[in-house]
Amino acid sequence: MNILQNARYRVLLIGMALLSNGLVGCAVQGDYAYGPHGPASSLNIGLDYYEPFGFDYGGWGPGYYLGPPLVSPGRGRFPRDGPAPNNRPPNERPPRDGPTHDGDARNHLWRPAPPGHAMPSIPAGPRAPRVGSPARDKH
Amino acid sequence: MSPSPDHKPRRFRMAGARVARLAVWLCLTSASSLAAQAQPLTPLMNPPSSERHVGKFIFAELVTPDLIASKRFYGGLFGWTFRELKLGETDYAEASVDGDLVAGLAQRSMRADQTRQPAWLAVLSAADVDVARKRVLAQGGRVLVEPHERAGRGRFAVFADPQGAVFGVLASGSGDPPEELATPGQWIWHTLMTRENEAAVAFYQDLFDYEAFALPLADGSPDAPQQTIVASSGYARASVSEMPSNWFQTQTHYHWLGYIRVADAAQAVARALALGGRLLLPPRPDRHGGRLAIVADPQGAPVGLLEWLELPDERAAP
Repeated sequence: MNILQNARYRVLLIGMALLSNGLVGCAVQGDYAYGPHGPASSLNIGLDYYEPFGFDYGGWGPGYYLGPPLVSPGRGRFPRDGPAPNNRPPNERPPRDGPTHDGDARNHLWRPAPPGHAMPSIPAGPRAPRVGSPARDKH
Repeated sequence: MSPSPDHKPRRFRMAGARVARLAVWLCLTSASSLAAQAQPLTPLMNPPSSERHVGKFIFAELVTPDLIASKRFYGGLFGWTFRELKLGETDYAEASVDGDLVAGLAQRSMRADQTRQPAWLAVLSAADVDVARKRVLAQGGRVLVEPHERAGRGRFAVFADPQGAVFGVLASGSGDPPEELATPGQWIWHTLMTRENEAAVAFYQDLFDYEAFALPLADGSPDAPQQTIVASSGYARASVSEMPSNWFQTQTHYHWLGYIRVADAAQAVARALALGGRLLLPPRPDRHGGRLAIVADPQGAPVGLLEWLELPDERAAP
């Protein structure tokens, strides 16, 4: 007798299908989240990306710079094999132990840039026309 | 009295039908949850690009306790427009400006007794997120979110450097944004606020193969905080700045801070305040000649504002 024609087996098969369906459904559930809590290997990561900082940003004195450099006149990509720019922005004084931008004389934990690589600035090229763009809805 | 043998098949048939109906209902509900979970994110580049700029900041994400208020703030301040979607149970909004995807905002409620605040997560380009994971661990960092695929976006992970600053890495499945000057409303710069500049630079250099350039110290004194510029592919990506010593008395949290390009920092600050933000650092000239300011959004997430004055040849069309 074909077991699929047996009602008991049919109920059993349906039950097994339900169980597996439920397990799959549960497995893909979870918050879209990140954070230091929870099993980081699954999607169900407890999100706790709230950080206790932000309201004490006034501690910097005058001349404490944060933004990118303006390396004139070679703003943008530095010349790989060219000389280092000589005209540096105002108010940038020599460091305590010697030159910095390139040819850094101090010992660092990091690798200094190769000789001839002047400190670059940010990309300066104008925005190219876009062929496609993300779907947008007004907020 | 026991039921007669003739009734058994009918009883089983009825039970089977009930179970079948239940199965159909469960399948439909599971399918809908699967569909919600699988809703893809917008690719970073559309159409896809073959560009890859390891170490470039290519995206940012904010988890906010009030998504509607965050959209109102950032839309009003930077002209961002939003695409809303559901990721599992989470409300999510993709932010774009001039057709370029710039950020993602996720809703997550905060308990009433929770005193923490949201923060932007800076996301950098990586060639191989799993290799990055190994390097992070080898250098003393932590894995906060294991590498995983994000539908439509690419392979993604979140790490913390050895000093605790959190950052994301993404191997974008559609390539990275081109090397262009950011337009107003786009991320233009990032700063790592850290305690040990040397160690931090070494960590990120190992991870992204940055070239590093020490900067002249702000006031020239031997005890002044160190600053370093890190670059990749021939472009400056970020500054690594030691926090001033007076910070350590009140704050010991190290973090990445992103800056959005604005046309006028003072006007942007005024607009941010009108939209419910807070002023953290008043506008002031920075080393490149433009002004820089830092505000917090109404939920407390800090964001930098940076003017960038284009040179005449940069405004010219290619």
